[in-house]
Amino acid sequence: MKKILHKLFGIVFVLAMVAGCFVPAGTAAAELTDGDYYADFFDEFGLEFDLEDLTGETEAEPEERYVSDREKVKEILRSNLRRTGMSLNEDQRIYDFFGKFSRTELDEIDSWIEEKEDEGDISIRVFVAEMDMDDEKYFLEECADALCDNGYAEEDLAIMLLNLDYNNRGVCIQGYGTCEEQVNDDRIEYILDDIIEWFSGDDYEYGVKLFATEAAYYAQSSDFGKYFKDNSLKAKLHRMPWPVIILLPAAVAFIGILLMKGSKGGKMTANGLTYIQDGISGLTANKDDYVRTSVSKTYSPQSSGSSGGRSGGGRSSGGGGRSGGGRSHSGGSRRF
Amino acid sequence: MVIDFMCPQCGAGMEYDSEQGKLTCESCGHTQDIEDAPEIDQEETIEVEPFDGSQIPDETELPKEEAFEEKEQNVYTEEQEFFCNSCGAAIVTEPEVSATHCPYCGSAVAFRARLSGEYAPDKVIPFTVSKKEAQDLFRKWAKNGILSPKDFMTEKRLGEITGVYVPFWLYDMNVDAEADCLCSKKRSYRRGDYVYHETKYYHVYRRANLTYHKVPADASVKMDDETMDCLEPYNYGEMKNFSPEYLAGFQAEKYGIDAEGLQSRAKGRAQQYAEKYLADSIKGYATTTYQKKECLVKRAREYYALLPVWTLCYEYKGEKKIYTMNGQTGKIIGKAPVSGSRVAKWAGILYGGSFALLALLTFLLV
Repeated sequence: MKKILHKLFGIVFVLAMVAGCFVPAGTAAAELTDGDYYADFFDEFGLEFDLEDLTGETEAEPEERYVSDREKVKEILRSNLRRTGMSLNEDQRIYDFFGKFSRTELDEIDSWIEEKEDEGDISIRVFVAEMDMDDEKYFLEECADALCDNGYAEEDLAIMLLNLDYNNRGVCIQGYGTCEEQVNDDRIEYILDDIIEWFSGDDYEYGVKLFATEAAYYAQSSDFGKYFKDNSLKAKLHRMPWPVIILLPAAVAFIGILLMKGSKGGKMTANGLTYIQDGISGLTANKDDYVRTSVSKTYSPQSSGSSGGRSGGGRSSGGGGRSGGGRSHSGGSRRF
Repeated sequence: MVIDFMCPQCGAGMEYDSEQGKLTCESCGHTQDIEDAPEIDQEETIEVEPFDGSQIPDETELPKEEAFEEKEQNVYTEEQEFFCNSCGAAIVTEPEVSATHCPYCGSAVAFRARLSGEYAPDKVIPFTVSKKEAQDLFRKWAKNGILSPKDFMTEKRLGEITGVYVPFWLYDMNVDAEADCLCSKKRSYRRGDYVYHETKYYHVYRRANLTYHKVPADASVKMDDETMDCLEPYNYGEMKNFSPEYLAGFQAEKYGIDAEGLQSRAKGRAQQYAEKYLADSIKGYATTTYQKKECLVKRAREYYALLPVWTLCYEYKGEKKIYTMNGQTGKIIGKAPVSGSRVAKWAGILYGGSFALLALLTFLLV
């Protein structure tokens, strides 16, 4: 009997775990910590458990943990600033704590972002650092608070963290002020769709520039069904599959030869108008009589709401939140 | 009887100068307006029999019908012999040639027998593109043919271009055309969850009376009909009443197919033109279904005219190609020969170049 109960318990446990995987990210369930999740589950069955046994973690009060996370990311920011000799200021738009970019690249990116800031009438800041994945969101919130509180950036702020930690490579984006609505969670997902492939391809400079471009674009776009389309030659080449790269020159050669060959020959250019005698030629009778009308109809229900052009399942990250300084924001992140 | 074009001042041969529009003597520089050209003195010309009578089989030796057919065949196929007024040499030509050069002294000659009577042309459009201009135009045209063999359009070959007056019948025609058809206009609109497709039908009737002036059809048996059609249009404003002097220095042919024989071709063209005219007059409809389409083509009159054409022959891989140019407008017709090795070379260059460009762009940008 005990064995049967054990097996039954095991099956239910596995099913519950699988179901948990399909709970959409960004919902309340997804925001539960592992400890919360297991505690709820065990409570339901009236069982006792020791969190430390299951996860190796000690259970902490949520408020305490929140405070500790805040302190942790503050320390990350402080230590990075100390280590690199940088300080937050209003003239710097990219903070490369990781040392990914050269001085020239940084200058170029900075001026690019500055241009996009003017276009979007927002502030755009980029941080490049390494940290745990769980710290990204708090770290950006801390940066946003620090920048806005000190007047180093406007309240309408789009901010991105490029996390280059070896085990946690990813991007996190947040939108504050008007950007919370303009660069909202959905649009952050669209931005991530576009930029992530450039980071995966090790073209960090273009990825950062594309983030600034898209953030500025969405900041000024009132049509929420409209997507940014990167039509630059570079993007087109990047999107081009390799068979096309092989076949395109063949098509060019084929068309070129056809043009070279077909340009010779000559064709008949004389027509009726060449020989017609104007003045004595023309219509002698001309009638257009209405006969009847036929109408058919087909059922075609109107689509409701805006439709997206993007595929792809769900959010990769948990959306927005509120910073320690009380600033509400949109957000999203993705690994690469 | 041979018509020659002797200079009244020095006695040398004169030729038609397309730039001046006059007969010009290359020896003394004397020019002569064609309208002022003196009548050919028939007594000074040497008249010869069109062909050797001994070559014609005795009719009595053959049944009547066979003898007639044989004679007809001789008239149109046998080469005939004339004697040059300048040097007295025998000029042997194909039966359709009505003007040429004496192969011995180079004098321009025309054959009255092939330019008079039923073969007397009504009209002529003189050459306005000179030989030098024609060579330049051919050279320029050939330069664009980068797939052509190397020896195409060499200076030597360009020297062989020939100016030919090609015989044409020009028809004046009247067409009474009518079309009766059912046409429709379509539109779609949405009301609620339904899309409505509305089609309105109309009974459309058109009738036209059209007159076409001097529709050409080439009467040469040598020239390709399609090529001659492509050489059109000619500017009839420069058309002149025929005078043999226009032929001086060029080759000319007499017609090989008479006006009756070509009228169906010309009528066919007039009918096509009329149908197109009617079709163009039916506008604003999505569909047109013809229930009746009739064209009654009446031939009003025809002109026998000689029109100017520059020709150039080129033999490539055993195939003889003829390139032609409208001697009035300079329009060139002919497909340049294609060299396989040049195609391969250019395909390689284009493929390699575009691949390298794409690779370079990808390398620099991505």
